[in-house]
Amino acid sequence: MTVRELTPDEAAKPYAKYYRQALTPPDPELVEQVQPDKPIDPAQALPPERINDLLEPGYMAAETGWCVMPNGSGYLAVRNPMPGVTVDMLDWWFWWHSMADMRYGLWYPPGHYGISISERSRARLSDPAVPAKEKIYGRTDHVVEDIGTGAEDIYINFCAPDELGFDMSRFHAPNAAAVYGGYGFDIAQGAKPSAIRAPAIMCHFIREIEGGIELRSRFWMGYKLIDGKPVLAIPPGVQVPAAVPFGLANHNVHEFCNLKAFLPEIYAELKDADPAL
Amino acid sequence: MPKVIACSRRRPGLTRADYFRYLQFVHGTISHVFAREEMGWYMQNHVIDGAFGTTADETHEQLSDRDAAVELSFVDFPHLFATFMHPDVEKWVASDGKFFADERHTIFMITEEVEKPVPNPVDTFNPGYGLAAGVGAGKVMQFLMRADGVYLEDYYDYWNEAHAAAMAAAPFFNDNVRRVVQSHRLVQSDNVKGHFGAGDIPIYDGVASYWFDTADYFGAFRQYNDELMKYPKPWVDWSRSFYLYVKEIPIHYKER
Repeated sequence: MTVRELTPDEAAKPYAKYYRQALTPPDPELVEQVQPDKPIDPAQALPPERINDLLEPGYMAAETGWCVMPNGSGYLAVRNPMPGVTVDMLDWWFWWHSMADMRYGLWYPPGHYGISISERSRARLSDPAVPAKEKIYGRTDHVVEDIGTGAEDIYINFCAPDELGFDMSRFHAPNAAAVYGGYGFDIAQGAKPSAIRAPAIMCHFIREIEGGIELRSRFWMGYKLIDGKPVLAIPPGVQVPAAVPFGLANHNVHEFCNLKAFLPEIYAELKDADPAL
Repeated sequence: MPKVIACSRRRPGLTRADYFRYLQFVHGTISHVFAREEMGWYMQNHVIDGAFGTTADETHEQLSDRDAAVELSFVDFPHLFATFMHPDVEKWVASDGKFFADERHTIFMITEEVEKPVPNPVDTFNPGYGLAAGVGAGKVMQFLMRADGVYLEDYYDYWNEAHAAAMAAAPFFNDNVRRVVQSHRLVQSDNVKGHFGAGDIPIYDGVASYWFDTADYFGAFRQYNDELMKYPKPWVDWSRSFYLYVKEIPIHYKER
């Protein structure tokens, strides 16, 4: 993986300093739990149909790890505590970063190469009348990312929690504080438009903890979301290669450990700035 | 319910009659024999006429002949895959395509149907003039290629806006169209295109189907299409889009 050089315009932005600063090393405990030769027992994975189990107090048997499920889908989970980070900060981050390649790059420069959104999504992000959470839901991010398996074009459709299947009568403190998730697909960069694409459901589930928040990520690879219900969309006998859930789990640990280190500072500096800055 | 659409042209050496005969009586019969319980329905749409590109194009920018578009609906993805990957289906149905279709040029897509309301649907007590109940005997299928640079999510928004504006501006269409269905391509899921022998095919993110009582009302579609093309956002590459007037031939019939 390489770090993309900034353009002269990007280098002149006030937040370019975050791109240049040294990466924050990942949490060693999480790194230890995400190893290519140590998949978790699939019986400990959370099936996508039971997404509401995330609303239960306490923790699951496997809060961090990856595996390939017997039905061929890929699964990963990462629990990343983020002291000093608030839901407001994450709400802001999840719309602000989508407006420019470098903003997405700040998150993890060695693997985040580019992002684009449609004209309409951009207008919503820039509209001060649209609340932060509304800016997140219903948007499609087109990102170029390398999770260690080569650069890919990834399309992420962000959904409101109920569209992801959450029971909204239970979606409140202390069970939940926010969720940033959706569904999408990826395709290797440079592949023909007719190439096979891999679908996935993504869920970054947030709970408030003493002094900050905890981010509990779950990814279900091979699944598509239809009417709030997960549907396995890979042919029988086909398996998501183990390198993919492992690679994404490993990437998740690195990108969120880096983000939590600079998010409070960049939020304080830019939360009230012109979104187009 | 996911729905497969495959749009082919006849293989070299066949007349249209040869192709239609084979598609309906040989391929259709084989497919029907292997139709599995979980298949919703299988409709062949035999092309009567059609137009490719626009009158503003000096020459064609796409293959300008298509002879049939088939639609196969399934209860869910696992059953769709299970059907296409069943050894008998692979052995007998998939391998039959080369005898009638120019397979490498077959347009293939897995889609999701989105029903659009119409002011005058076929009455519930009147099955209509077609073999399939409740929709009318004349059908138009329109393959709309997304214009370069248009985001997928915007394409569907623009389509809805353009459709609403065209409905409002096309009274003859508005009065006579009996049903409108948009089929949106599920871009994640082209995983069984090998069944149809499809090569590096053009991608269509949307197909619209319009039903009328009889083929006499196809002119109403032209009125609508003229209005659709007036939508100010350049959302469709009209030179690489096309529409087909078709006759529905139900192979595995279940009322929709």
